[in-house]
Amino acid sequence: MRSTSYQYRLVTTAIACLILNGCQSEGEQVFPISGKILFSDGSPATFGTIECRSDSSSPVIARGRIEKDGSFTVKSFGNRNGLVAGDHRMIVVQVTGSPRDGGTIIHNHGQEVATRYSNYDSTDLRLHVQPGGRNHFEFIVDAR
Amino acid sequence: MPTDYYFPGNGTGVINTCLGICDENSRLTGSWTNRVSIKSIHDGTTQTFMAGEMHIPIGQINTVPYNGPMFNGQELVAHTRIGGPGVPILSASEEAGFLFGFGSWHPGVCNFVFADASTRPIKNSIDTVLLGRLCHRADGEIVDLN
Repeated sequence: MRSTSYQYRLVTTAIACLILNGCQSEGEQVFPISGKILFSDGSPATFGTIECRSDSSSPVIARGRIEKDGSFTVKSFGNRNGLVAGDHRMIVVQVTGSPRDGGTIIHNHGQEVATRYSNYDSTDLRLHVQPGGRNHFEFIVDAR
Repeated sequence: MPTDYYFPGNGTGVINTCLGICDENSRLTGSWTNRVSIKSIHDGTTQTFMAGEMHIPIGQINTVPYNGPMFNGQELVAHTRIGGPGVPILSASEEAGFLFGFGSWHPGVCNFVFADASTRPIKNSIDTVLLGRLCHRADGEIVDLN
């Protein structure tokens, strides 16, 4: 067997933004959020990252890690806990492939989310963050 | 935008020209694959990353899987990085666990070599959609680097 297997599966996206840097205004206030990603059978997504993109002409991008119980929080502007107020699209990214064990890729991470959630054009995961509100979001997603 | 820009080498994502072919026992055979010629860089050499600093968490230099041998036909994460939505440029202080992103110990920026051999620092805060376009050599979009 030729082991050139690049098993980096997943991901991606679109939409044009022609500004290389500085799409984010670091002075904006952020509001803590929490969330959870579950499959329809009630089991959680156990790994991966999420990224949120605000619906604005200067989008603010935030991200966080999915914990083993499916929960997540996000940070904006590098290390500020939360999201700016308003509407956001959210993607879920799960990169698989390493580590290996004896040439076999380890898959002990439970179900994987459908790939459409990894693309801003096709994801239907949305958040509306309210200033001062309890911003908790639960998503039921399809498995791959 | 094509959704395959995380596939390096013979994919259309990050350029990777050093992938050895291994046999069934994971030994290098001396043959190579995923050689990328300049004519396959459809977006233009000024619009495509050739190489960039790889994110290695502090304390993980020379530690697999964060920083492994380059001539490795299997463990891509040891020597290759990807970028785009969900996989931003990472900072040195990023906790261990984010394996796949570019990143630098320079504060706030990461250095890249473009396919035209020019070099420039890119802010860690770059829009991840643009980052994906720069990693992809045939997405058909022009990125304004100014």
